[in-house]
Amino acid sequence: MAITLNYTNISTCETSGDWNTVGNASGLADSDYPSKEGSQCVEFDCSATSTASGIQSDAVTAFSIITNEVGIWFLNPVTNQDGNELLQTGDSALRLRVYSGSNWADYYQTQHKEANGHYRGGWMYLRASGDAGTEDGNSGTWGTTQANSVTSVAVIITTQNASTDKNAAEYGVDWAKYYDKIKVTGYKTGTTPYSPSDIYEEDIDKASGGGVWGIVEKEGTYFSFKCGLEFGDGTNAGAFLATSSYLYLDQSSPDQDFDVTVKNNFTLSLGDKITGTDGSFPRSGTPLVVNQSPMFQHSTSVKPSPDLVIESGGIFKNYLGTIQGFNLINLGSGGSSSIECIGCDFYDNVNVELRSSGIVLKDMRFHFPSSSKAPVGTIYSIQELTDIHIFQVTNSFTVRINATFEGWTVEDATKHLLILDSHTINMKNSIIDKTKVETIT
Amino acid sequence: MADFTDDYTIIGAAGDYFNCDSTGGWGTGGNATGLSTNGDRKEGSYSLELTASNSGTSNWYHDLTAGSRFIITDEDLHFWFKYLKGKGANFLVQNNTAVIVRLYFGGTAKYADYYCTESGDLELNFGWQLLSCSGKNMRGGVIGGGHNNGTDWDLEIYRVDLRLNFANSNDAPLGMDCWFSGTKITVTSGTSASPVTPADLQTYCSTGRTAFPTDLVTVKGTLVDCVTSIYIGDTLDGAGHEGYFTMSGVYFYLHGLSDEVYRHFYIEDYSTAIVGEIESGTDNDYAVNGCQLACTDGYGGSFYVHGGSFYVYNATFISVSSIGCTELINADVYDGYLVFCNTSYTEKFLNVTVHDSGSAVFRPLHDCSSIMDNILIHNQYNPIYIDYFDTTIKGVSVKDCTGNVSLHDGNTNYFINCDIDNSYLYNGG
Repeated sequence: MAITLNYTNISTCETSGDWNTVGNASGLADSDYPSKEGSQCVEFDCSATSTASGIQSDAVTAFSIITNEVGIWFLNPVTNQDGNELLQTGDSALRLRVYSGSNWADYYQTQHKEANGHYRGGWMYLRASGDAGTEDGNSGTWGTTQANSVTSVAVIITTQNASTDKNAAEYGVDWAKYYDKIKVTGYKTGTTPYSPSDIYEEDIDKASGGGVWGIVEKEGTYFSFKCGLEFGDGTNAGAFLATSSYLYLDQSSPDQDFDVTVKNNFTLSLGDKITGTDGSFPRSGTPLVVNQSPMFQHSTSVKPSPDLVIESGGIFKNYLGTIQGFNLINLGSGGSSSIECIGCDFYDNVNVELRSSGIVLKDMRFHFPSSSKAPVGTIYSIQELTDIHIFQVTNSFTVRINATFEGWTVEDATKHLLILDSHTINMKNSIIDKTKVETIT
Repeated sequence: MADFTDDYTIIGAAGDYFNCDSTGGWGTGGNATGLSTNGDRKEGSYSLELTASNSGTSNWYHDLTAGSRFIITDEDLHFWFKYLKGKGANFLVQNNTAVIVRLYFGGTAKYADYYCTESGDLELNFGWQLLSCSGKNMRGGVIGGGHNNGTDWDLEIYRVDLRLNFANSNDAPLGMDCWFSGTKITVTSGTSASPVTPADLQTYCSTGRTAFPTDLVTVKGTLVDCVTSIYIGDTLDGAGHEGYFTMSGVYFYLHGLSDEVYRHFYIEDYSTAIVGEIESGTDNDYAVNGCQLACTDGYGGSFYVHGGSFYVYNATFISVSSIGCTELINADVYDGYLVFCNTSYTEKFLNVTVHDSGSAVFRPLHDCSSIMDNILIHNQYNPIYIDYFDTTIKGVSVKDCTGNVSLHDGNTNYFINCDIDNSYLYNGG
């Protein structure tokens, strides 16, 4: 069916009339420079040694940058025609400013500084989210209330040389928008699943999906996504398959909850499985990894906390893949799902819950953050769990059903394995070492 | 800062001025209005300005002095290109003919054009950027001139010709600087307490080199992009020669530009590299926080220990041609070529799966029963090759392999807890 970005326009920049100058910016005009969306972008100049200058969008219906991310394309011409570098090199030289009425906060775009400390040239994607703006500078009052009620945005620069010279280059701005997820529904064709490359191609296709999103990046078999991922529409069948790839969820602040969700009747497959003459073999593992050091992070102890949620009826297959950095991995959501994970590492996720009647886990390793060692979670119903290795768990691991665990190794779990009153666990070929076993009512 | 060396040098002889510090000997063609020096540079004293009086192709070229030439199938060619944005329109055309490097092979009659931009819309950045040529790879897929008879690729490069396709005349100086070639970076420092990391590689490439920046290793998020080979250590003993390198939780990409210039991650004598981590429990150690180790699809590459120590924990190898480790624990090899457990340096080889990797060859030597277990080789052409030693292997499953478990005539080999199914045993003679 389709790959779409769930977004709302702030300005498509098809007219410079949507924008207003800030500080020493001038020359605000329509530009026919090759744009990222539509038929044109917007250009402006700045005089030399300008501070806090740029262009601001007209006001729009208030939106949240806690539940969304703001993105805008910015064109840096780098030098004027005398070869003098335009932008200063400090961290504050390029900012995305968000306004809530007369209050504003700046989000420094240091991700676009090259290793030599200078800002790269050409089109670059600016982004902002969360209420970390107070860290980078603000005016008036700024906090969660303001971050949940953003009314306009601006690109703000500080310059060391003028771009107002005759024949010198202008700065460019295009397609300001806010968004929270990419949606993948249906099949690519027939019953052929979509792939990470399909999402990337949809992003860079200016003629499709509204313009060039700037959300998805690709290098080799590495793909990064600046938003959440939603698979399925809850009704129609569909599939996504990633093999021998690496999927990186690059949310920009710990305040976002850019979940990965698999809805009813959709199949998300990370890796695949081949059937030989003597059994089946998992292969082509694809990690799904959350960025643990987002751009706008108050404190290194506050981590992003998205969830991986397989909703009731969703289908999740993970072969030899690492799932890393999620807050909650909810397999099944209390319904009936088909979930098969073989040979996977579940590493540094806070909580894992097995909540479906159709779960197969084999040859798994569970490891939890050392700073917050958390439970494997509550097991509600199990189909087949074999050869599971759980180590260094410090909180409870609760079993609420009669279950068979075969080949489990639970080591160094300094608290307890809990068994619901009047229920039994049949342990086969398993090792429970240095772990307390207790019953609960 | 950590210590590194590399083999990247300016091409040609000093008097060829591929460092772009002088216009000496540079020829022009088309509508090029000359050449001059500019103080905005990546290397040395100057770069060279490039201006044209009209639209169409203009070019600037220089021959390489005999004895200083290089072969494009042996090493990558890179140069720094400066592109400026004009007032309004672009200076160069908006397609992949905008920037072409024409290389002449063995003289001035035969050449090939290397398209330095992707197809479609112009994707050049403003300011300085590194452009590259390598092997027989021409991204635009078009071969110019009387060339490509299949044998000329290995001839020395005689002339380098930069060709720019202007959309209009430009009175803003585009620029070029520092044409260089090479193959690898060598890590020559680091300790277990203070290892060299991918971030150190990036710093070295951008600001740590004395002569000129190469920017051949970049780190973004968990992506480590290496447009070069990486050697850990230079084979010699002692400070300034031994390397100690670690990485965990990253996608480490040996980014090849062509099928001819191979990418390697080698660990040399006396040096150490560790992928992933080991966490110690009360009774056991756990391998955690591994990496994806990838090569460019179709080009191959190797992650191989030559004599030092290479410990790999929880790794996935993608499109890697050859693998050799001291310890390989919890690994998945897919779409590769050769996987070894054959060196005298192998100490542990556990929980490894090898799939669909062409003619992957697993070559155990001597008694490996204490160092290996739970190895699955599936759907390979030649799964195992046993050399002329008496060998013991343990815990290996060979399934659906169309080639052979190849034994050696006259030797005795022991298989402990092995499962060979739907595959062949063969006496190699």
